[in-house]
This record gives sequence, structure tokens and C-alpha cells, in this order.
Amino acid sequence: MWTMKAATIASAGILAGAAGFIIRDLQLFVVGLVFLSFLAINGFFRPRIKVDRPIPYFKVFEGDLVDLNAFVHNGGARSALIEVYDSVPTQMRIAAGSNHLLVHLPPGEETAMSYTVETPLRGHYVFGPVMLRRRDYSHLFFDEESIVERGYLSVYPRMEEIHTMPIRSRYMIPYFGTIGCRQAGMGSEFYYIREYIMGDAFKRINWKASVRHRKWLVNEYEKENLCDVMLFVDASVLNGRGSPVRNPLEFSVRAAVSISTTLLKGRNEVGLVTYNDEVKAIFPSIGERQIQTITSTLVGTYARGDLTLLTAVMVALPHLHPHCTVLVFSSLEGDPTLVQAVQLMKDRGYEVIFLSPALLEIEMGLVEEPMPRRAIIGSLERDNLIAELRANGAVVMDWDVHQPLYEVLDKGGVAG
Amino acid sequence: MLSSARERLRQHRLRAAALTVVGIIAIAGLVDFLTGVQQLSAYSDDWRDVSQFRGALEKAGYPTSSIVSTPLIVDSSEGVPPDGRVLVIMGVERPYLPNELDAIVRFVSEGGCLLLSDDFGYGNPLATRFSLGFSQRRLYSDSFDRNPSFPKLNASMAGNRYTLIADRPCALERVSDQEVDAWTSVDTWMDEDGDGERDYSEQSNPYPVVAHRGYHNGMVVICSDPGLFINDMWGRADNFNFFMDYLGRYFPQARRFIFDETRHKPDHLREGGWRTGMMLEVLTLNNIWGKATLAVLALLAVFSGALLVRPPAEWRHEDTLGEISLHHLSSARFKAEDRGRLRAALLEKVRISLSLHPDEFAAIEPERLREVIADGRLEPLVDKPNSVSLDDMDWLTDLVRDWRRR
Repeated sequence: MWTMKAATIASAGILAGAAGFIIRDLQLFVVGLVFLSFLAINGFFRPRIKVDRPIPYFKVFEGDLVDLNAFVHNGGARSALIEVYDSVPTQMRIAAGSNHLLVHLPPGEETAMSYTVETPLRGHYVFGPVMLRRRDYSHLFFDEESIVERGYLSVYPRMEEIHTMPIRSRYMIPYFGTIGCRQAGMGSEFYYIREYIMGDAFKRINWKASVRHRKWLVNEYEKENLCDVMLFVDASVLNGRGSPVRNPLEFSVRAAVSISTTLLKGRNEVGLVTYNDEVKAIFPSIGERQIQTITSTLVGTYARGDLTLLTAVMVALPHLHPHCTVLVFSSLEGDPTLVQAVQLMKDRGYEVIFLSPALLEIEMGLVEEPMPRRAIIGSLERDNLIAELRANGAVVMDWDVHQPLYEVLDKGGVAG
Repeated sequence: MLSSARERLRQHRLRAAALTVVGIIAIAGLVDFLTGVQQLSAYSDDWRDVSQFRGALEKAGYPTSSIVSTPLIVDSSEGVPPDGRVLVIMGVERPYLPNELDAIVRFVSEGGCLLLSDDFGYGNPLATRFSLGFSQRRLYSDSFDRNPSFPKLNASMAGNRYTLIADRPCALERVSDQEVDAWTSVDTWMDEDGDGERDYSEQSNPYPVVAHRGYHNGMVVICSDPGLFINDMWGRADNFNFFMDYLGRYFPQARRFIFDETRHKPDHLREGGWRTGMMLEVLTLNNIWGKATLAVLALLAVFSGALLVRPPAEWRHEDTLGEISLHHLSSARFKAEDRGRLRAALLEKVRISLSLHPDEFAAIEPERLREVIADGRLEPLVDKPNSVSLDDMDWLTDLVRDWRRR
């Protein structure tokens, strides 16, 4: 490609040559010819360059640092003035070094461009291509070339600490698991104290309570079984409001990954539905592979579109196990069908739990200004909606994202 | 990094500038093409063109050429001395520019010959430069051929007498009797008021139609009827003989006849555009301002060439992590629709406090609703939300937020 300097010289050369030819002025014609010859001679000197930029990892976690190196080799017979640039996704920061190199490279020599990127945001990313710009020494011409094809890197969200699961289903799979089912039985969580009856194991006797009440009392534990859980993640465009790192979808994804991994490690069957401009459903299943599948899907979920929960439920209904627990991650913004969707699911016998990161709180944290009166209307609308959802039998955990996830889960929602 | 929008804007500007120049030339050509009548062209064989006159000249051994851009280049016939050139102007359908008039006068002063034939066109400014003129009022005669529009003229030269037939002529002005070579008959009258009728004041007289006048080193032959030369009239009476003898007498040095075609309507649109382009070229190359303009345009062309080239993009990584898009806090000021939102929020709050189904709540009496709300300040918001001023929304919002059922 031509630089402005080359184009100026070319224009002047053509004009001078043409004018000289028309008015039969040999000197002017020769001046034009000299300009054009200068361009032609410079055009011959183009160096031959090779670049290699390996990506050391395929997967990293949010906040990790990735060191990258691009090796530039001049394989030509002449020195080269080159500019190398590695295209880094805009969702990453250059933490150290530079992904841009301007270097004079003698023939046969090699240099390295080293830099470190920070990956603060989950997602599947494409690095590259590495762009090379070669110049001649008069800075008349340059050509750009994509030297290294793309490299791929997935950034996984960091797992959040979880102490308790907010899931309390009345309909459990009759196998020993980790989810309390509101019945006394085999489990690890204390449920209540009752009087000793013949046949109770001595290790279940609550000695302190027995002494206090002067009769034999034993601890009863909550029965813990397996449970089928379907996660619904709202990835509509409003859930992407805020900043790229702090928005309802990011918090939802982090929570969904943590909860699904914990549930799957407890041998529960977990499925996933994401809805933005399309509905993606992963059938409920168990095991390590399901953890990978769900996590990978969540990593690649981006805020766009405006599909509603009702649409997602209608699409996913055939895949839902009977009486399973539905865990919805949504900011509850911009979806007029939430109540209707809850009614439908409750009618079908599903337990519905909402974990809702509050968009208003996120925005307040970003702008760091007092809340304007107008925003209070949004807050009132949200409170009313939560009350309505609870009135329809859903459990809603209103998540002020300044709190850690485990605190919200420990507190649980208020069932209607 | 140079934004692509800015780059596109620059490209558009350049394109617009180029299109403007082309458009001006095209429009000028179009106007030239659409206005006027095609006539008096030396290169067209229509009845009102003068190709037979040109053919006669060539047969007589005079090479002919034409000017299609501007008469400014009348001096540029190489190999022919100035006094060997005869500029033939048949009908001036578009006015000459002052510098074009200067060029023609200069041409005659330096020994060139001019045959100027016009009647009702723009020939007077040129004739005036030679102290001549066209009356631009039509002559009628009782001595005519076929009808009064074709009056007969009497001419004499070197003892020979000629009868010419004119075609709707006018008269020459400011010529002396010695300079006149062809007159109308004595029963010719000039239609002074242009009504086509003879009035009492319109007296019969012989009027001059063809005359000659020496001007410095050159010679001007002026004729107040180009119709004498048109194809339809060229063979009539003595028109052909007279003018061939006449030109031989007054232009004895003539070696080339140059027809000025610039004042005729072009045959094709393309020809009009080309003519206009040629005229612009000559106009710019024949004066210092034109040359200066051309130099500026050349510089602009060079810089435009440079600007057309996209400069290499600046390679720099910019992350988007700091970008913020807000929903609730996008605007701090209340908008008109917020009145409806606040009202709906209040009613929903009331409904939930009453544990009513939406259908049940819709059926509730207004009085009952006022009782439940129990705050007169909120009544305008509930009854007539559109009447609520946006200035009142601040405290109303606080009221709704703090509202509890008593």
C-alpha cells in the first residue's frame, strides 16, 4: 500500500509528466519521470519476515495473567524496518510489555516481542492475527500482512465460595445426596430434637439437651437426597448493562458456574438454559463432563437480544424433569413475563428460585454518586415485582452484589 | 487510530469536490445544448446551415478550419501569417466575453480579416468595437423574391452588378456610403416598432446590408443578414458569385478561413460538454488568473491524490473494560413517562398490601382506594397523573417510597 508521501510524489510526477507532455516542455516531463522512477525503485525493496506467536494456555481463570511472546525473524537478504502488532481482544488489558513492536531487523536476525495480558472478563477469546507492516526506508510504501493465524483462549469465571444451597425441594430423588428435603432422615444438617425411642443409635443422643430436660433426647437430621436442578440464565441485553466486568450477567454467570459445579459434585442432575436472542438448552445430566459443558456454555454466553423467561420456559419444558427445581439467574429487568412464567412453572409442580443481582446497585457502584430520585421508581418497581413473584410461590433472593454470594445463599429467599 | 467515520467523511468530500467540477461542466454543456436553435453551422448540411459556403471556399482553394472552444485562440493557426487568416462569424447566438472581444479586435488590428454576419443576435458588441452596428430591426421590401421576407439587394463591385436575395435582414449602422457594397432597394422600409406592419413613420429607403471597413492592419466585412450564406439561399440569384468575388477582392491575402462555431448550439450533448471543457481550458490558459487557478487546482489534485490514500492505521491496544452503559441512571431528570411509572408503582404497592389479585384490584371503588392510600397528596398522582408537574415528582417519589398501609 502507498503512504501519503508516495501518493503525493506520484500525483506530482503524473501531473508534471502529463503537463510537460502536453505543453511540450522537456524539463517538466523529465521532472515527472524522475518522481515516478523514484517510486518504482523504492517499490522493489520489500523484506521477507516470519513471525511465530504461540499461546501457552487454552484455559485460564478470570484475573489470571498470561505471558505471550511473538518471535520475529527476518528471513530475507536485506535489512527490514517492520512493525509488528498482535491483536489482543479488547476485553483484556496489557499488564506489562507491549503488543506493538517497531524494529529494524538485519537479515537473518530474530527478535522477540513479549507482553503480559490480564484477563479480567470471562469469555471465549480469539487472539490475533499478528499483523506485520513492512516499510521501505523512504517510507513510501508499506504492506500489511496477517502473519500468524488466530489463537484461542478461554477465560473461565472464578468459582465463588458456597456454604449452603438454597434449594429445598419437596420432591427428591430417593438416593442419598446433599440437598435437604424438609424431612427427618439421613443427613448431615441438624433438623430438630426428639425423645429417644428404642432402637435409636446412642451416637445420636444429645447429651446436653438430655441433661437439661432430664430425659433422653436425640438429634434428628434433615434427610438429604439428590435433586434435579435446571438453571435458567437471563442473558438479555439489559442484563449486560453496567460495565463489562460488573453487570448482572457477569454476576449471574459466576453464581451459576459455582452453584452448578457444587450441585454436580454432589451427584445431582443439573441442566442449563440460557436465553438472550436465542434459547440454548443443555439437558440435565451428571458428572464431570456436565460440569465442563455447563461451564463452557456459560463462559460463551453474552448479553444480547430480549427473549423472555416465559419463552425460555416454553422451549425448555420438554427437557425439565418432573418436580425439579428451577433456579433462575436474572436481574428481573425488562421482562414482563416473569410472573406468568412462575405461575406456569408452579402449575407444573416445579420449585422456582430466583437469584437476582440488582442492576440498580451495580450502577450505583459504578457511578459513585448519590442515587437520583428518578432511580427510586426503578427500585419500587423491582420491590413490587419481587413481592409479586414471592406471592406466586417463588423464592427470590435479592442480591446486592456488594455482598458475597455465599451470604446471599446462606440467607436464602423468603418463600411465598 | 484514525476513525473510519472521519476517513469516510474525507473520501466523501473529495468525491463531492470532483463531482462538483464535473457537474458544473456538464450543466454548462447541458444549458448550451438545450437553449437556442441549431443553425449557421459550417459543418452541418441542414437548410439553415452554411456548409455550402464552406464547401465553396474549399473548392476555391481556401482551407477551412473551425474554433469550437473560444475565439481567444484565433491567433494560434500555425503556419499562416495573421493577414492570411479570415475569421468567419456567422450569427452570434451567445454573447462574447470581454476578453474574447479583445482577442478578435487584436486579431484584426494585427492584420487579420473578419467576416461578421449577424442580424438579431449578440453581434453588436463586437461590431461596436469596429464602430459599426446592426439595427436589429427587420427590413421589409416591396422588391422581393417570393414574399417580402426575402428582399432583393443590389450590389456592385468592380463594375459588375449583382442581385442578391436576403432572408429577413436587418440594416447596418454607422457605415459610410463608400463602405457599403450591397443595399436594399429604395422601396424597403424598416419595421421600427417590430409589429410587422408598416406605419406612417416607417419611410422607404435603401438600407445597407453588406459593407467593409479597414481597421488598423486588418479588414472587417460586415453583413447584416447571415441568411445570405445559408444553404437554402447560397445558390439563389447572385449570392454565390457576389460573395466569392467579394471575398477575393477584400481578402486578397486570405489563406485560411476559420469558422467560429463557438456561438452556435452544439449538435450533441457530448459536443456541448466538450466545447465547454475546451472553453474552460482556453480561458484558464490565456490569462494570469486562469493560470493561477489552474496551478491551485493542480496543487489540490496533488494533495487530493495524497489524501485519497488511507494512511496506515495506528496500532494500539485499547480495552473496553472501562466502558459503562447505564439503564436506571442513564438520566437523573424525570421524564413525562415517569408519572405513569410512579403511579403504577404506587398502585401495585397498594394492591400487594391488600393481597388482591389484579382483577380484584381493578374492580375496587375509587373511594375505597383513596381510603387505603389515605394520603391526599398522592391523589393527583392516582387520579390525574398527567396533571402532576415534573417538579413535584421528587417529593411524590419519596412519598410513594415511604408509603405504608395504615
